[in-house]
Order: sequence, then structure tokens, then C-alpha cells
Amino acid sequence: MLCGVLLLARPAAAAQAGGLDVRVGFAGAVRVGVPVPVRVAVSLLPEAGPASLVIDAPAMGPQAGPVTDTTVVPFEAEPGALQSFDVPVVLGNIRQPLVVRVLMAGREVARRVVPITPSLVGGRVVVTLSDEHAGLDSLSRLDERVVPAYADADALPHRWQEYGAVDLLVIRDLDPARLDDEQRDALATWVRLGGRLVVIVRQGVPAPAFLDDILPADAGDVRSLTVSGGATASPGAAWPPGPYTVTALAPRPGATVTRLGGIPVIASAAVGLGWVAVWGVDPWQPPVAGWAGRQGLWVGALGPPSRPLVNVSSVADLLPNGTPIGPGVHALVAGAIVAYLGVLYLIARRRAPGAGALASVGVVVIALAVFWLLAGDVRGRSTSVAEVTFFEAAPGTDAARALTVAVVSVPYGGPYRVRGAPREVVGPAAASGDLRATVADTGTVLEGTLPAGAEMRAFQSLALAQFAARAEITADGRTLTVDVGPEPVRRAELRWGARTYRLGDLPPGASTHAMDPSRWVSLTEIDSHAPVRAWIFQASTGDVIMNPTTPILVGEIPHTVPVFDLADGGTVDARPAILLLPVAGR
Amino acid sequence: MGNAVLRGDLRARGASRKVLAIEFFYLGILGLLTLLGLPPELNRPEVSNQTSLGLALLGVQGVLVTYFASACAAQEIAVEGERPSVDLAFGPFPRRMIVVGKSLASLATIVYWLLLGSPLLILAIGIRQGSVAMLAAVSALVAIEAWGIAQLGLLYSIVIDSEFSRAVVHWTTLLALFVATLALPVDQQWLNPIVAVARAAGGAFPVQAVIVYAALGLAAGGLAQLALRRYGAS
Repeated sequence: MLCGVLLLARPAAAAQAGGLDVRVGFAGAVRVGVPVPVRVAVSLLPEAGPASLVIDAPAMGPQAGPVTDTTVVPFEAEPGALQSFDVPVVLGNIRQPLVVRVLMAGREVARRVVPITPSLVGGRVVVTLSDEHAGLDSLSRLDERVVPAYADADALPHRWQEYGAVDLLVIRDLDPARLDDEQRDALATWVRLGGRLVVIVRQGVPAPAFLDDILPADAGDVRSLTVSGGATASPGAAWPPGPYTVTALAPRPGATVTRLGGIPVIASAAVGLGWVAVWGVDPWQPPVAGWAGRQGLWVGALGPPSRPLVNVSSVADLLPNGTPIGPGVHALVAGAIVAYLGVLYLIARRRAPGAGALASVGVVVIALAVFWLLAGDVRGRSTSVAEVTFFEAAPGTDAARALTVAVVSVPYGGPYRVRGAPREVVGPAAASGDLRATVADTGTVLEGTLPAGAEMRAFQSLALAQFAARAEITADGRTLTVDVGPEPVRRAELRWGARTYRLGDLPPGASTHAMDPSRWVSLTEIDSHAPVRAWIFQASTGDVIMNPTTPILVGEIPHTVPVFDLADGGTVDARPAILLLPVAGR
Repeated sequence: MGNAVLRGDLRARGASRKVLAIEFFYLGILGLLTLLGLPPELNRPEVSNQTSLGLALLGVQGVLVTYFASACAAQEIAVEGERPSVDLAFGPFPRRMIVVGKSLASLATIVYWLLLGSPLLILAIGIRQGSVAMLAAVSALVAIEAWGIAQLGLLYSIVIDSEFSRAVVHWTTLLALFVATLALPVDQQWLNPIVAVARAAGGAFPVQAVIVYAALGLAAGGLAQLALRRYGAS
């Protein structure tokens, strides 16, 4: 559910009576199952001291009764001060309201119940930063339950992962000074890692400078022109005739350009895993405003629904449910048992029968206490977490989207405490039982109890990773050039749709490979247990990587750093990471 | 301890190498199962299968304690220095003292063995998040079952002179109780000592089993007292 929280130095817009102002999502627009920002402003606290912000998010679970994912943010209360928090929360059950509370010394000092508006729960969400809160209503008529939301700069999250609900962000009126550095970085990172952004430039409103690195065009002069019609604006639609005031664009290399009266007015390009467009024509101004074909522009900008490459459920199923405990534990238990029997034997041999029996009973009493403690220790060590990380490299950048899937298992059930790495956004990978997430500087601690018979639970973590890699294939498909960076990649293969091409181990750095088109084979034809394949692909379920529509290079990266660990000790089984590197055409 | 028979039997068992061997065989088996039962269990078929080595440990304990207690009572295992009931009947001991003494000696031995095994069980149960109350309930059940069957052994030691015939009848009894009862309808299988233990471990304590085995023990003790009359004991 959550893992990141920010205590904002900047005061929130306003704190309502009762001491809590809560804003969920983007002007209320949310999606189910992905992290959405929950901004909480706390004021009017009665005293200084340790306090906790508690967010109860109803979730769906397999068992009967209510299930709640609770996020706890400890903080130091300052009476009279306005304290603001930005917490990513995954909404699982929108029929029930979000409950936000502030606790001090176990006492509830503030409480707010925030219902989720059903009409603002989108299948896809378009967020627009515009002074004019209208104009996108037609998107609601699309089949994909698109929810347009008009937000302001304060709504932009501080973590890129909190954009998970957003399919398209439109920036029209944005004063960059209202964004702090974290918000700027989060926005740019989100785009590089798969976000879609439209920046509308117009007279007096240039593109935000902090986005300059990712924009596909530079803004030029503002020009006035009259169009009589005929120029193509989008597939199947021509610009409406009339007088225009546009900003001429200077497209950068690789940009796709749409012209109006011969002037470049729309430029778009892929950036990493994302997509950015600059519009020099303002759809809120006539003659585009009110134009029926305008929806085609928005549909083009919205693009097709994004499909995750990794099937988290399949990965969770493949991860081992429990790992063998170390030989040290067996030795410890065996030693304790032998010592117990040895003491009993010595007593039986050296003591008179009556006294021996009494001494044995004394040993039994001591052994009961010792073995009970030993049982707790063994149980703690038997708790395990197995994880695998997928690095989805963003082409042309040194960034990668790091998705980690982990399975915690507690033999025979019982409590667990899993700690995620700092700066990660972590949460459950599937609907399950109650969960409590406590934010700490060292990472978020996820706590819960697994019932006997359901002894595992899956989590996922999303983070930004530094990973510079690239892969290109020639147009004839016969030469592949790969640069995988400083680490070798083992058991590499290309994936494209339902076909695969085995490459074998790749050395660090750049390498070139001659490709034989006849060696592409269908996934259903290959031996799923072939040792040349990465472990994650050796299982019978071949849908870990969902059939990519463009070529993807996949392979194992041997050295990985565990993302999750067990706060109370246990076994951590970090499997080799999997590289997912989009292959560009050349 | 006013019962001389009880005193003598406990003294003999405390000094017996056979009993010591029995105890360490029993504890060795429990220890081995405890070690093998460390999670993840070997060959544990699936998560939903709750038939684990933890439960097997309780069953094995019940079988071992019951067999050794009844075998000692039936003189199938002759404990050094322990005089059979029939021999005592020719002595100055009243029948009641002999039967009560032998009976309490069996019960004390059973409880002692259960106590010796309890640390190993608490380790296995603790690892599996089982409750101490459950373990106490199962131990009490095993004690009553083993005592009831040991009382049958005591009866056999008095009424069956031939050692071979006594062993055959003893084993037949054990097979009948531990195996043949599995053929009963499911709602009556609580008569099986292992099924009863499993149900107690599962939280459904079989009170009927306690009543039946306690009654069996009392009845066998009464019959043993009657049987001693033929040896002229008062």
C-alpha cells in the first residue's frame, strides 16, 4: 500500500476545522489497485510529542469480513503548526471510505472520513493542469471509462510512483515556481519510465524549463494564421478552418511533427519508456475549442492502454513458497535435543532411582522453557522472503523501472514483518488480508499475520534504478547490437510476441550478434526446462513476460541487492534480477 | 507412599536398564521426528495439508507410550526387580494393594514418560504455533488411553499363564484398538487412540474416548482383582 511519505516543509493550502484536510488522488480522480497520492494537512494539534498519522484504506480480501490496509506515519507533533504529508496509498475497495486519523499516545485527536466518489474512479485518468476546468468532458464517452480531472500544481505528487493512476498528464497552465524539486523530478522520472505528457505552449506561457530535457521541440515565435481547412490534424480529421494563434515549434531530431499551415504545431517523441508531446496550438482556444475532431487529438495523446510487461501474479506463483532454513538451525536443534537426552542419561546413570526421577523432572522443567524459546527462534528463522527484480530499462536514458516481486512465507502461519528498502513504494501484489505499513527512515515495514493454511503473501515494490543499457536491431533483423552496461547478462533471449530467440550469455559492455531469422521459435515449441533459460522462464507458466508487441531483450543479471528483508530475522532469497531491455529498430 | 507394591515397582523401574533403554528409544524417536519436522518439512505435500510431522509426533508418542506401558504391565517386557502380580499374590499383599499398586505404577510411568517427552513436543508444537493447552489436553488423553490399555495388560498378566499366549492376546488387543477401530464409522472412530489424539490436537477433544478408556482401565483393574482370588490372595 504505501511506502513513501513526505513531510512537506511547505504549508498546505488550508486546513479545515477538525485539524485534518485530506485530498485523495488528482482532484479526487483515482484508480483502483495503483498507488495514488493522499495529501494530508494536520493542524490544531493539542500538544507537542510523538504522534501517528493513520490511513485506513479498505481493501478486498479472500476471507470474509472487512479487510483494511493501514498506513501509519509516525511524526513529531508541533502544536499550532501546519504539518503536511504526501502518502501513496493503494485503494482496493472504493465502496468504503478512506479513514484518516491522528493518534497521540494512543488517543485519537483528529479523524476524517473521506468517501471515494464513484464517478471519479477511472479506468484511465487524464489529469490537466489548466486554469480552464472544462473541455475534456468528451473523453468520458470513450469506452475505457476515461476520467478527466482538472488539478493544480499542488496535486502533483512528490514520488513518480504516485502517478500510477495517470494515463495522460496535460500541462497548460503551470507556474513552475509552485513545484518543488521533488515534484519536478517525480514528473520527469514518471515520463521517462512510461508516462505520457502533453505540454501546451502559448503566448506568455512557455514550457516549464525543468522539462526541457525531455521535450521533443522548442517553442518559437507566436504566429497568427488563417486556415481554410484540409490540413491533417489527426488520423481521420482535418484542422477546422479559421484564424489561429499558434506557437511555432522547432522540433528536435526524432520528433514526429504535425503542421498547421506549414508551421510545426505539434511535435511528439518517445522518451525512455514514455511519450511527450508539445502542442503549439491551444485546444482551449477557437477554432479548436468546440471542434468535434478535437477528441481525435486527445485520443492520440492518450494512446493505447498501457500493458504491463510483467505479470506480477505469475511471478508470485513462481517464487518459492518458503526457503529451506539453514543448516545452522538444524544443528542448533539437534544439539539441544542431544544435550537434553545426554543430561537425562547422566542423571539416570549416576543418581539413585528416586532422586534421579526428581532430578529428571527438574531438567524437564528447564528444558520446557529452553525449548519453548528455541521454538520461537526457529519459527523466526523459518520465515522467509523470496524476491526477484525486473529492470525495465528506459531506452536513451540511464534510468530503469525496477519492479520487485516478493513472497513472504511463514511456515504454519503467524506474524511477519517485512521491511522494504528506503525510497521504494511497496504494497501487496494481490488482494489479501489485513496489512499494516509503518513508515520509517530505514524503509517501510509491512506487518501482518498469515493464517495457517495460507502461509504466503506477495508484495511488490516499484523504484527508480540507474541502469544504462541499449539494444538495436537492423531493419533486416540480422544484426543485433547490445550494450548491457558493466554487468554481464546471462541466459539472454529476445522476446517478440509469442516468439523467442535465444542469445545465450552476453558480456559486459557492447557486443554485436549475427541473427539467424530461422532461429526464432514459438514459446510453445521450446523446452521450458532448458537450462539455457532464466529460472523465471523455466516454469510451466510462460506468461511472466506478457507477449511484448515490440522486441524485448530479457536475461538474468547475476548480482542483485535485496529490496525486502525480514525485520525480525529470517531467510532472504534474492533471485537473479531480470533485465527487460526494449530493442530499437535501426 | 503407603502402597508397598507401588513403591517396589517404582524402585525397580527406576533402576531398570530395560526401562532406561525404553525411555531413550522413545525419546530418540521423538527427537528424530522433531528434527525432521523442522520447517519446511520433508515431502510436505502442500500447504493445505495439515497432516504434518507435528501431528505424527503426537501419534507416535501415543503409540510408544501405550505399547511400552501395556507391555510392562503384561510382563511382555519383564522389568528387572519388578515382581509379577501373580507372585505377589502368594505373598502377604492384599489383592487390592497389588492391583492398585501395579495400576498406579503404570500411571506414574506413563506420566513420567510423557513429562520426559514434553520438551520435545513443546519444541515441535511451538514451531507450529500450536497451543500449550492443546498439548496438555493431548497429553492427558494419551495418559488415560495408555493407562486403560496397560490395565488390560495387567489383567492378561494375571489370567493368562502362558507367555506366548499372553503376548498374542496383548498384540491382538493392540491391533484391535489401533487398527481395527479404523474400520468403524467415522463418527465412532474416536475409539481409535490415534484418531482421538488427532481430534484432540484439532481442537475437538473426544470426551467419549476419555470415558471409555478410563472405564476400560477401571473394569480391567476390577477384573484383575477378581482374578487374583484364584491364587488365594485375600
